[in-house]
Amino acid sequence: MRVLRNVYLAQFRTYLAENFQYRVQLGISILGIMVEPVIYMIVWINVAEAQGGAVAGYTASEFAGYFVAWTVVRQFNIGWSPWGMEHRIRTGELSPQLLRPVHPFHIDTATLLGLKVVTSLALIPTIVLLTLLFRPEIHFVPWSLVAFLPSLILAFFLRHVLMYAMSLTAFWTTRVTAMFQIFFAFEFFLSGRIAPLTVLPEWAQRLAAALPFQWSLYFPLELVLGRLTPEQALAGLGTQAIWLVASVAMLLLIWRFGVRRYAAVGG
Amino acid sequence: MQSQSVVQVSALSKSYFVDEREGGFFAALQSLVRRKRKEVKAVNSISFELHPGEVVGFLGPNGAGKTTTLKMLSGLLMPTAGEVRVLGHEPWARQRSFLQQITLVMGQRNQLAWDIPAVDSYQLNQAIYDIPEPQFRETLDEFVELLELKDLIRKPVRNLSLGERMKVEIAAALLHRPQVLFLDEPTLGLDITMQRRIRTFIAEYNRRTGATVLLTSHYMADVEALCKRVIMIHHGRILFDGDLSDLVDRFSAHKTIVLKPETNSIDYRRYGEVVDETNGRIALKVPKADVSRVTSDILRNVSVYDLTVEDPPIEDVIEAVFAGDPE
Repeated sequence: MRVLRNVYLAQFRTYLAENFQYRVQLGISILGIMVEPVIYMIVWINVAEAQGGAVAGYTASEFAGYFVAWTVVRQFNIGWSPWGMEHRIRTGELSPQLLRPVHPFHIDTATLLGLKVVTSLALIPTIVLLTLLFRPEIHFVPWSLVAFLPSLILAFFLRHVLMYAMSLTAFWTTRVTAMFQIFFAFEFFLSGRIAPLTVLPEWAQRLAAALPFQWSLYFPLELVLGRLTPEQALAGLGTQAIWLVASVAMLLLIWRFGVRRYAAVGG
Repeated sequence: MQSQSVVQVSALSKSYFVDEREGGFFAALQSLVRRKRKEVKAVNSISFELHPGEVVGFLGPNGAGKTTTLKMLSGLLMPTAGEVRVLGHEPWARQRSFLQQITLVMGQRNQLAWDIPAVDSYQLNQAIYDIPEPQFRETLDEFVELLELKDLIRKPVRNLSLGERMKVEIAAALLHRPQVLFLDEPTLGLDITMQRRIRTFIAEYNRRTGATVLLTSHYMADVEALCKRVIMIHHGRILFDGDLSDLVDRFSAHKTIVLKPETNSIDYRRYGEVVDETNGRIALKVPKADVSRVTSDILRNVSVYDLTVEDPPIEDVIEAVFAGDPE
């Protein structure tokens, strides 16, 4: 544990050192963070206004609130890019990482945590700007905001571990883009990314409930917006934890067989 | 004897299956349905041992199986057959205690972060390998001095030249003071000065730590400077394993007599094959058994300024071995 703690701290520092030297990049990332939610916001605000003020339980300014909160959660749930792992496996760059006495997952996770610090800096002005521009309406509920914190952490780890596990399919086929795209397509619609899940048809909501995607975005969002009962919040945190444990088990299993295959066919 | 060897390899083999098809669209289409697969034996039942503190050259042409072997020894590749033990561990299990004690340096593989100074990556390695601070400082200072890294480790890695990058890479790979070093072409693409610097460093590291080193190189200067013993591999099989000096004895049936005569009026072909004749110097290729007789003949019949008997250049001997045509 002590070794792991030191590895996390060291890689975290390394990442910050690597990224704080790019001031321009920080400016650009503020812009990048804003583009996507602003588009959804404008669309849904217009739809709500055209429908006489509200759609699927959200008014125009509540949609604005949804997507401002979305901007925060989205930044925190960014996981390990599966294309990065595919590249490592295909080019053999994974080899030196396998020779280190610490699993690459830990170093990659520490890198992501460093990224969160950098993007948090960009996030603060972004949120201020979006709030001034769109006048969001959020009904904060104190206990719900407290529950939001662990849900955000679980959301990050769940999505990160899932993406990491999926990226390891590159051990079997070095052209995995198609598979990743299916994953992201499902996630796009069923995680709350383009709209609150309540705007989806009944069957799609049931599908979303059976899949892990909403637990790394929609659930924490509902907590920020104060839309859940304490029982629902508790059940949600439990579901997040169950999905996380299942994803970790899947990651370990795929890793074990994947590395074996990597070592069989050559690195 | 068993317990004394650091690396034990017995009947080690590695085969790959590779897809094979003709070029062209139709063949590509056909390969969707049916694929021809061909087995390639990269390493074919090789056995050897390395003893503590040895520096051994692992030689062979491209594709001979050197890198595959090094990858099996370091735990990156699983053998198809045979056994490997490195410091008593099965490399493939990649246990922490094993990985802590070895290193694999591959000529062009980069393990350092590109955009930051090497010293930051070194600190990450310190954490990964759990190197105590005093040992880390001491080792780093030592490497900085031996490899002349002082200014290099504080510059972003991307700003370094190829040779400079290799130096900081090697330092990174050895910071945890591994006992067993697998070096795959550590001097590839470097200029003579840089090659020499790295060579001296490896020798010094070996002297100070008593580490065991297995290294591949295309530069015979590396091998001659560092390795008393060489293992030669070709088409996945070991052709020779022994002292470098024995290699010359065993595979070269000839020596070269070089002489500088006072006058140049004699036909030297009766003494042996004339392989060179420039600037009044004559080089004769003579079967080893005849060397002393021919030398005394020449000295009796010709007045010479100078006469030497030389072994053929090591490159030539090795080339001959690999050509399957030992002299």
